[in-house]
Amino acid sequence: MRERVLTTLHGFFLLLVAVLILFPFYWMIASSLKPEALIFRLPPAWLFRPDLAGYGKAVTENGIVPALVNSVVVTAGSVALGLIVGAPAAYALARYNFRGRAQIQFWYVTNWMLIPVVVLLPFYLLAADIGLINSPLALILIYQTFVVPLVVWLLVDQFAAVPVALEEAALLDGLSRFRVFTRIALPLTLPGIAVAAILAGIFAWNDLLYAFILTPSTGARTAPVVMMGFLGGYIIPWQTVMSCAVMICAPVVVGGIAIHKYIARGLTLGAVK
Amino acid sequence: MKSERKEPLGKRLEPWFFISPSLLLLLAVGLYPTIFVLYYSFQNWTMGMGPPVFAGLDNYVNALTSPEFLGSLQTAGLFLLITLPIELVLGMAIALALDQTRNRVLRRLVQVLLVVPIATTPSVVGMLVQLMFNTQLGIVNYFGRGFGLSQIDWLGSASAAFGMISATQIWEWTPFVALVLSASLATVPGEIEEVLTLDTESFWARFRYIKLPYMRPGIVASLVFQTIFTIKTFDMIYSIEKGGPGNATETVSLNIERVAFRGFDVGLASAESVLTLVVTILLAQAVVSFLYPARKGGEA
Amino acid sequence: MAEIVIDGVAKHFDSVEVLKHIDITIADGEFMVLLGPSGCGKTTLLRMIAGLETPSSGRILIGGTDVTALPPARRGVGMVFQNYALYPHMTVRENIALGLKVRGLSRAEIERRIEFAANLVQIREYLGRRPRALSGGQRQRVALARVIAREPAVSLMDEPLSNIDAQLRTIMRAELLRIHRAVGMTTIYVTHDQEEAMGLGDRITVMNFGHIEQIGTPDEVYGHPANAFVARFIGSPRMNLVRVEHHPGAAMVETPFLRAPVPDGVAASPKVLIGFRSEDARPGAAGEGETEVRGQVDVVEHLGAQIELHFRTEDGQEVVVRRPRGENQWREGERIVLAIPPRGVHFFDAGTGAALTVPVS
Repeated sequence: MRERVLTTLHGFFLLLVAVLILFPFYWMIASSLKPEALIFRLPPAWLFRPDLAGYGKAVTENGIVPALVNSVVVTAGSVALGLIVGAPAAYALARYNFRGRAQIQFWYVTNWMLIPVVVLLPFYLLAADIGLINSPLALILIYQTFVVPLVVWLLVDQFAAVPVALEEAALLDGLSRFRVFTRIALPLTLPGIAVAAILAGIFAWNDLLYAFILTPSTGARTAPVVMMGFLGGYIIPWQTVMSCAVMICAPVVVGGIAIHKYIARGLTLGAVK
Repeated sequence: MKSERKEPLGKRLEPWFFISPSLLLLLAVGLYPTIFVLYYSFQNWTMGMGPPVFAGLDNYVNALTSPEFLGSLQTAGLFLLITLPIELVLGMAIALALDQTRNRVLRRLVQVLLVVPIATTPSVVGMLVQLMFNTQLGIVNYFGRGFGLSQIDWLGSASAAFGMISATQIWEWTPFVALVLSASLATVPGEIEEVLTLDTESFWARFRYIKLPYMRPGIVASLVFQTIFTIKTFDMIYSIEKGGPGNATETVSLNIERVAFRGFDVGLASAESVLTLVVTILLAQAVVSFLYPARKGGEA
Repeated sequence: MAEIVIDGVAKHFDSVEVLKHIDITIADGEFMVLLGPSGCGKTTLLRMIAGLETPSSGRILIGGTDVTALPPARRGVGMVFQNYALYPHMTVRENIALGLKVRGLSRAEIERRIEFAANLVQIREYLGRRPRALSGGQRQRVALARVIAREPAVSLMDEPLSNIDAQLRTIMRAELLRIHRAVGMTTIYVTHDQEEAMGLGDRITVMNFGHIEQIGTPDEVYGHPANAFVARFIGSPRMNLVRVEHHPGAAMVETPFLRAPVPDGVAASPKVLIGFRSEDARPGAAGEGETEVRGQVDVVEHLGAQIELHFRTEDGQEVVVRRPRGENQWREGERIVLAIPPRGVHFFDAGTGAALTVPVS
């Protein structure tokens, strides 16, 4: 009897959690489909005819498409660079025992904990010096401060799980260490690499602060920066803003769900199994 | 007695061949700017106004006597002190409920949904908060009226705005704590819990003697990382009111951004950055040493 | 006081039937072993007695009380788990004390019981250590002490010796018996190791595929197996079973490789298994009333004091016997004749496996 009551309580609590998480998303999507007149109507219009004008305006008048393209370029570039430099590092940390190994691991953690605003100012000054302002490359470079630690820490375990015997067999067959890495270790860890890429991609895609400062001019802005542009006006076109919001967060929500099992591990850099 | 044969140099350099690209990159984008900040913190320089001039400790003195900077530190501290315990308690409750529930469908659903607030773009969350917390026309006050609460001027009143960003932060990050603690609870071997069920029916005893000790590493990890995530928080607060109304929600990250990119005072912003770094490091160490008390001797 | 009655207990998980209508009565203070191959349901039965699983039907009574619906903590049972299940974050002392503490015992009483249990299983010097600083055998002792200190009416053990090495296992077996004698708890012990079962049990319940094959003392299940399964499962080397056909009603089973007088009372079954244990057979022709088996030596294996002979009957059935070293120079390919006296011969129905006779003892 007592158990029955407890089980029901757990159920209600979890249901409440689910509703609290989902309601804002419902509200966002509903608002993106409501004509401006309905958005602030109270009691809320639960049933209404969906109106796609917000998406239309976001695309035609507010340049969300080029901004999304910029976001894709920056995100893909950051993830690619992060994987190119991070995967070999993870491999070395998984396979070699060498002096300074612990310090190097700690160094990656330090970067993950870096407060963005602290490096932003000097990086901005440096980027301005070498003409990188408004270039996607500036963002791709500064995003490495969080992409590389994520990639390295997620992949160390992946590489460690590849049977050593398999690699030794390849070494005996005459492959170099580097070939062993590219031909044996990498293919076997592809699923883990995909997880690391998605997780790092989510953070790169979501960034507002760096992008706001480093890509200020219209053509170079990423999607969150463009969305923030609506705040400047006297009247905020909420339907259009929410349409942009839906388009911006849809890919990261889908990506997050795809890798939901690894989020806790990824964000704590492997401290939690 | 050291007659070990040393490994050939080529072999010893092998790991560095794999590691150095990432190290050099991080030195360039992480360490180099940090050193630059240190340098500028001793210079008097406003962007676009002539060359930097050595200023000694002036910037530090200015920072430490600036009510705005000290206020932003206080705001950040309060933000942390309010959100962190609530996130921990709620996250633990969710993790325990997930662990206890027999409803597999609900468990799967919540486990997946927990990821969503973490993954969602913080600036999108900020925009959504503005819409939902609108004083006259927002859905939050509408529901509040339903419960007999008075109209709250979320975006206009300093304390309400602070409550609003705290609630938003809790919404975004409680799932992270829940996921971490959930993972810790999954490490409790079934037999260990069964031993105690042979002795007592009390949920409290099982929580106190088994679940809590197993959650301990997860609690430490989530506190440490959540402290860092909270101090890093920028996008969400900025996209709601840029630290306003007034400077009610201006945490130290927002304050530095404002000094640097809206006030162009590179020297002061740099000194503030250095001080923030120091405070963060001290804070992280305090958290760690508080939660990992020095091990008593004699234990294997 | 703590007699255990298992009354028509059955268990199914979804549609899989794990246990079918089990009836066992275990006397107060008895050491009962549940023996069977993995997956036979013995652990499930033990966990149902503990209250960790709920029977799908049937009742469980402990000391005359129906405990079927009681939570584990109110059944007065202690349990030793296969992996010890010691709390890793507590010292040995805390491990033993916790169960007593949550039951609200006084500090002095807890101390007294820890003292008693620790002395009995000889772990006094480890009381301050954590489980990970102990060897497998020591952890096993701690798990035992934890149960003893609880002073439960019933102690349940789930393969407690399966994770320690063979040498230590023999020592721990003797220890278990000594402790059982000293404390006198009703004990139910699950194992898949027939040697362990024979050594420990006052009685053994042999289980297979969720039902009981036989309940009896070690001597009964060894000497008078109720069916071919028990005959094969108990004893090492296994009992030889030779499949033959005979004319129901004839006085002798006669095949080119086996001659056996049919004892009175063997039911008319055209297909039978004739069983005998290695130690009951001797090389040489059968005398009056004895059974004779013939074959050709296949493999000769030296075991030290003994030699294991594998041979095949004419129709290819394998028979294994052990003979003392130096008795004869056995060679592969050699013909062999074995004689078995009547008390060593068992008849089983080849279809159902049921014993057809009770051999003369």
